[in-house]
Amino acid sequence: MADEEPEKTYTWEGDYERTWEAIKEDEQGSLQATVDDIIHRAKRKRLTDRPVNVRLGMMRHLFLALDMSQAMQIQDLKPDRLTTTVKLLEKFIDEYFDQNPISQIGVLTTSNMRAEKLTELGGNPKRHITALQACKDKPCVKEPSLQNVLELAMSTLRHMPSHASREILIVMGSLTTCDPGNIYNTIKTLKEANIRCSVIGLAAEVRICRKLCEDTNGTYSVILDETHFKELLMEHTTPPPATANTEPSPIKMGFPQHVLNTEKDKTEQPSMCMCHLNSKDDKKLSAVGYFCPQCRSKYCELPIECKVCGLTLVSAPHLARSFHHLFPLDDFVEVQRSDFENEDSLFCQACQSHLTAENVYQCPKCSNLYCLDCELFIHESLHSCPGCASGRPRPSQTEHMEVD
Amino acid sequence: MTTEEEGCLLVVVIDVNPVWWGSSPRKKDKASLTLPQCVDQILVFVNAHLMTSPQNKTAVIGSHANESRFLFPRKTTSHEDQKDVLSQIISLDGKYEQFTKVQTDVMEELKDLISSNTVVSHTDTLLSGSLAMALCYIHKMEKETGVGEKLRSRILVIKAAEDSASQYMNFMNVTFTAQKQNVTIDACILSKDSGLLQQACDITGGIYLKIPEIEGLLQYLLWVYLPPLSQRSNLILPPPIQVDYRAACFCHRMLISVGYVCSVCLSIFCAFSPICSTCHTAFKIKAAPLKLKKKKKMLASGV
Amino acid sequence: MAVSMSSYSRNKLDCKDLHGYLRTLPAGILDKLYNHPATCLAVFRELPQLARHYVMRVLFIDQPVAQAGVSSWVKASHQSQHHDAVGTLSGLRVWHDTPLPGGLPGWQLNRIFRENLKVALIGGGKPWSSTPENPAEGNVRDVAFLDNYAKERWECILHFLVGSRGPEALSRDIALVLTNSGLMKIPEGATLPVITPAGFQFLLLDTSSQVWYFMLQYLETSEARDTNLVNQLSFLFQLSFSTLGKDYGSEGMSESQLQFLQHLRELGLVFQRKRKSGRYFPTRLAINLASGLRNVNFDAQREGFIVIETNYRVYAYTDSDLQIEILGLFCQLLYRFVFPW
Repeated sequence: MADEEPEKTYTWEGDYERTWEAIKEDEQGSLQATVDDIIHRAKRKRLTDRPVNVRLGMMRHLFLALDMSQAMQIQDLKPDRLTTTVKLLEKFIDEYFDQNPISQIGVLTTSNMRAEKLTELGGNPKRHITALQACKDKPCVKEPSLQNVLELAMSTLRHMPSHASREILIVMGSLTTCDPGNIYNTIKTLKEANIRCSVIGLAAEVRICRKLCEDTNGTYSVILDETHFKELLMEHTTPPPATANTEPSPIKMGFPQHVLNTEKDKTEQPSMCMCHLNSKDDKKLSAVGYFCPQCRSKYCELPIECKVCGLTLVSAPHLARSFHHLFPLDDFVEVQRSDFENEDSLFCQACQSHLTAENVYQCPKCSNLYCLDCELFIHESLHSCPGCASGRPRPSQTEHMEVD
Repeated sequence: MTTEEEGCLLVVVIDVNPVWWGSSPRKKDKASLTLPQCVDQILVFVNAHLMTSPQNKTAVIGSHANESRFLFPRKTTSHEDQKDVLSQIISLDGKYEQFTKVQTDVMEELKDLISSNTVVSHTDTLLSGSLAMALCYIHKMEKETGVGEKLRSRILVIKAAEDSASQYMNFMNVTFTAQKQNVTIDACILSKDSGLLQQACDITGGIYLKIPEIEGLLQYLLWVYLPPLSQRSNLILPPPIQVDYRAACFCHRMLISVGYVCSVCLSIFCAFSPICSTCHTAFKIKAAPLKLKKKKKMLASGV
Repeated sequence: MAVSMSSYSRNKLDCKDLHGYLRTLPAGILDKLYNHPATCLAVFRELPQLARHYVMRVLFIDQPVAQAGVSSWVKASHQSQHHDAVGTLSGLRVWHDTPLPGGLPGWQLNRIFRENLKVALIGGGKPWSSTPENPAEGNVRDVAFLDNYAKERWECILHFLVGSRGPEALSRDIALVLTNSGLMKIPEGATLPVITPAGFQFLLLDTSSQVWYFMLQYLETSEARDTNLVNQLSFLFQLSFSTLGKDYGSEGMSESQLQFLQHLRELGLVFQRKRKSGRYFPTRLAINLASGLRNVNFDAQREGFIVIETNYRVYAYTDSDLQIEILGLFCQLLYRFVFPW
């Protein structure tokens, strides 16, 4: 893996890494303890990565740039690089909208020395996924053009409101690029326009990509295998730290009511929705949907930007989905079970299982103990500590005298 | 002999808020139920669920104003204790032994829960905490199912007291996690409607029902909430209700349909203001000419 | 032992499930059977899902329910399931056609069935069996012992089927069941029974199906001998709902029930230290019986596997004598080695 600053050495320039010393046998020759230890450390790895107390960019406009040059036909990822990339990008898009429901994505491709826009910036994941699946069949020709795809992305992102973060994520399988002009000028313009570019390389590290990412404050990584590829992609779903130039501003949003035709006394008249106005399917009139509070046009699903009046329509749960980024859960402290008096009858607060492992985890606020599985589940999915949520702050000593 | 049915884990969260159950308007109303009677009916329902299939499992959580606790299953440590436990299950009245165990365990833990919490400082129920514990328990049980067995899970909330806005965030976290884990949340409301539970049921695809007459609690439970998830599409059940997804503004807690959202901390305001009151960011006010603005120093302190 | 392929396909082992068996019983017996909560519980669990739901809905309603009302509970697109459920319930005499006071056709739950199912659910009846007076000290058997015992006893039966044990291994009654059921037959001119093709198929079933099939045959045989079918069936169901590892008292059981208990002890379904001791422990075989669980645990405890090559050579890794005997029925055993696991 390449290092952060140019001053540090590359991996081959350093000393030998004695990987075999990481595995140690115990007396009977069993490796079980070492394996458990490695798994345990891998599970807790994510704790060390996240910086805290940094302002995050919650509304994101991200352009995905997909390299469709001849290098993507190479079969070092099975069945070939392009199919694997499309498959992982679909999962990425789902996860991205799950973590950032009010953000938008657009997809660009580059092949044959040109760049094309596959889908416009939008908040509907299905549209992007369908387009991505269709481009699996397109031919991969010749060379990609890094400058063209950056210029194409920039032409749209430049006009986006400044309170949202502007990002480009490029998946680059080729080691070369064929550009019409001086790419350093493009990089300078990107930097001024406050656009953050990140690259994931599939082959090897390329100097120009590194310079691009460093100048625009993005991340550059090269994959080792498919699992690593997925990990790197998923790192981009979490909101990045906001740059100093992102201007916060209040965004006007609408919260439409969902109308169902179950109210007996109201007769809702069937109407057509604006999202399917141009679709060639049977134009159905329906009585259910969301009505924009400003212009009363109807839409089938949220979040969406109203085509008539330009108001962003969301529902309160969409905003709530992003709250766990803003109010992250404190990490649990790892303690030894032997530190407690009744070490043999300790139970996990959340799942009520008997704690038998040596390491247990304690919440710093409510001092409840949890097992490893619950700790992972709480930090990765739940984002709320059950102990804190099901207890009151302890009363002071004098009030406590009441209870027998 | 039987077809391969999937087992269902039913977690019942009972609101045992002593403030609501002991409030005087209820005491005067002869027709309403007391807490032990209500818990009896709920236990018959739980036993009916266990009776339906040998692969069904259950757990019961009591949600109090001070804490939330698992009423069933009780904590067991090692196998030696299990033998003592086994020999204590004696059914003296013809009830199936498993059901007797559920009944006795729940009643004893409930008595302990209520009697050990004599001082109550807050009046709202800690429902979001109970739901979080239920989800962790479901996660553990799903991991422990053997090869070839399937386990669907659902949570039934029996709610008495009113909502509390301070639990909003925990509640939404729990709801989204349940949606991702494929867990359905059903709600059975005894008194006032609850916006939070309406949203939870809508997002996870569960049934929300406000019971008109509380004495018929068991019958409603058996008719509406007993059928497993696979049967719900065949039967005619209460229809989904209209959920109010409007947001409440942070300054007045009124429901608004159009508002301003701070791009940094996502707080919602009903009127435009130059400073966000939650994260203290100064907003850039857009001037009419679109020149390049000089970047002013921010008063921001980070979230 | 030459067996022709055609006889295999003709005599496929007809393993009836619980409902199939109950339908063959006359109506009077069925009503007497429903007099025990365990039977009602077992029958309830075997009903199709929709039928179970119907029973739960009308369990606490005393009056008959209109047929049109019941069919309105289901959506129009699923009426075929509704008809199946209704048919099953009527066929098992769980509910009867009863006209409503206004003359419309209706259904009412069988009174005996309803009362006993309610007892199983909420109590209010007699205890199923007496509890032993003194707690079992020193005679407590743990689950591992019970499993071992059950496995040993059941294998005795299978060994007898295979022919590797003499006629002293089993009591006359059990041997009679085997011959009556067609699993074994006595060829002319011999005194010892030999296995039939149906017996082969029986050997290759998994343990819970074997136990169930055998018990059905036992009940049919005992019906011919005119012992009390209802009592025995009720006791079987009661056993199947017991808790593993717990002991139950055998006081208050009639003579024929005690005799039945001895047979079950021989088969490995219960464990009893002495014939006269007042308590018995059900084993895993009994508990799986009517509850329909294909309990993976029992068979998965056996280690070993089989490799069959395309040149019809068979390699078996096992330390169970019974399995080797079964293999010996249709393979020619060439070599046998000892493995130091």
